Amino acid sequence: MSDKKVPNGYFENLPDRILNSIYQSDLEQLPETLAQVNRHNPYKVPVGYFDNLPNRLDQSGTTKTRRLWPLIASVAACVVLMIMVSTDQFTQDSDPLSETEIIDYFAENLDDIDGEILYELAMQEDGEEIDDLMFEEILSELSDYELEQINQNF
Amino acid sequence: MSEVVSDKTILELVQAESTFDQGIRTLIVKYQEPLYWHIRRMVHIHEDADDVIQNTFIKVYRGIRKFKNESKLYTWLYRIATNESITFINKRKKENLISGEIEEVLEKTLKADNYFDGDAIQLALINAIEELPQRQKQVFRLRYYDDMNYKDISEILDVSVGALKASYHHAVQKIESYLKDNVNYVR
Repeated sequence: MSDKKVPNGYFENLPDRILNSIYQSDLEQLPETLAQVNRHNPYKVPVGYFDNLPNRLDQSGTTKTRRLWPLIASVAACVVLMIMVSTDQFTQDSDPLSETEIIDYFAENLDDIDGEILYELAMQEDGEEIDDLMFEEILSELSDYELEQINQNF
Repeated sequence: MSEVVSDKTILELVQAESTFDQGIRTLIVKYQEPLYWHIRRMVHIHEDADDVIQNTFIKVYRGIRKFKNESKLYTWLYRIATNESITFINKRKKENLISGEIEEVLEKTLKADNYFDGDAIQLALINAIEELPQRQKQVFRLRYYDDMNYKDISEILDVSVGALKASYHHAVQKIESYLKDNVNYVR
C-alpha cells in the first residue's frame, strides 16, 4: 500500500473515465467527409405528434390488450381444465399446470394464435359477463395444433 | 417543462395494479421521442415509424412486469424497438422490394416525403448506412446519432463490446468511402 492519497472513489471511477474518453474520441475523430455531414435531424414529424402519441396509444393498442385480459384469463382457465382432463392430471401426481403461465403464454402469443375471435369477443361492452357458451365458442376456435402448442409449453 | 421521472419510479408504478396505467403512460412520455427517432432512422418514413413505435409500446406494455433489473430499462426498450423495426423492415421487403432496388426506392421516397428535409449529403449518408451489414448499421446509428456508449449498445444488440468497436470502425470506413464516391460537393 502506498502512503499517497487519492480522492475518494478515484479508482472506482477511473475505468469509466478512461473508457468514456476513448468512446468520445472515436466520435470526435470522424474521417474528413463524414465529419462534414450536417448533424441536424433531417426527419420531421407532424405538429403535436409527441403531445398526442400517449393518448393515441391509450385509445388503441394498449387498451386492446388490457381489455383482453379477463378473456385471456377465462380461456386459459378452460385450457387448463381441458389439458388436465386430457392428460389425466386429476388422478396423477405430476405437477399441476400453472394457470398463470398459460395466461402469460396467451398474452405473449396473442398475435400468433389467431386471436381475432378473442379480440372480437373482447370488444363486447365493458363488464359484460362471458358465459359458458362463449367459452365453448372460444375454445372451438382454437385448433388442435394451438392447444397442442400450449400443452407442449408446460 | 415536466419533471423527468426516474426509471426506478416508473418500474415501481407498473408493479402495482392501481398505478400500472400511470406508470405505462409515464414511461411512454419519457421514452417516446428517443425511441421514435431510433425507429425512424431505421424505417425512414413517418407513417411507418408511427406503426412501429405503437407496436413497440404494446410489446412493452405486455412485457414490462417481467422486466428484470438485469439490464437498464432504456436498453431494454431500445432492444424491443430495434427488433420491432427489423421485423417491420423484413416484412416490408418481402411485400414490396427485391434486393438491389432498396437504395433507389428509398431515395425517391425520402425526396418526396414532406417530413424529410435533409440535404444531398445527408441523403447520401442514409444510403451509405443502408448498404452496411445489419450489425454495422445498428452500431453506427446508436453510436453516431444517439451518442450511446458501447456498453449500452452491447446490451441492446447482445454483442460484445470488442465486436461492436470493430463493427463501428468498419462502418465508418465504408461510409466515408461511399460518401467520397457519391457526393459531388462537401460543404
